[in-house]
Amino acid sequence: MCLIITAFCAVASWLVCLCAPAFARRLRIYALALMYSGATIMWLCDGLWNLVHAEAFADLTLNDALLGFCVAVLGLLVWAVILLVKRPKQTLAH
Amino acid sequence: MACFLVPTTEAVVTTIIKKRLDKKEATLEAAGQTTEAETAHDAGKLSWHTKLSWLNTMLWGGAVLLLLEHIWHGEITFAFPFFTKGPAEIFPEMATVGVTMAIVVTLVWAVAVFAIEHVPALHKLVTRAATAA
Repeated sequence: MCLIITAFCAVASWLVCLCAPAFARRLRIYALALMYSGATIMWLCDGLWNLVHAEAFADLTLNDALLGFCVAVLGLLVWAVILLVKRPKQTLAH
Repeated sequence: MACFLVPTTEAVVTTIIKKRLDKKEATLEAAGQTTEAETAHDAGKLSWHTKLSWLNTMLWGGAVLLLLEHIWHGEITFAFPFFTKGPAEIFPEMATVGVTMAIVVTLVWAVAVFAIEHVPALHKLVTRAATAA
């Protein structure tokens, strides 16, 4: 579930970038999309190695869904920090 | 267990490379010479600053989110030695899962960069996004 939720977040962020490029550029949605994409790829690799070890590809429990939700929130928090740290510099530069 | 340490190590290396590149670019700019970013822009390519920024964000972001998963599953603690499993289990996982993660993320990034630079429709899309106001 964690993989599915993170992948959904990545797709949603990329869709925002595609549909509203000016908004995405101003709010650095690209950073958010890249972060979620990186995590999704890493969990995909983890899932594939689980298959090699004859384990389940993904965990579909409620606990893992809750983890996925927390991962999504952490991604947003990291993005907020990036936004706070980098935007003033950019504004000053312009 | 510690698979995310391999992409994290790669992220540290690429961040150092990017910092050095930025320093070199600043020196060139100060000397009034043409920077790599300007050359790349004129040639319709992506600058290394942009390319490495993307890779860094993917690696650091992925590693941070995976760190949370490891804490959640009790594989990492806040007390020394931080890992609940021993080196006999940590190192083989890093060598298999961790290395695969780092390689696949880098490959996806390389393919994306190549596609953006060589597929006109994609290049147009990225340029439109980068210049959107």
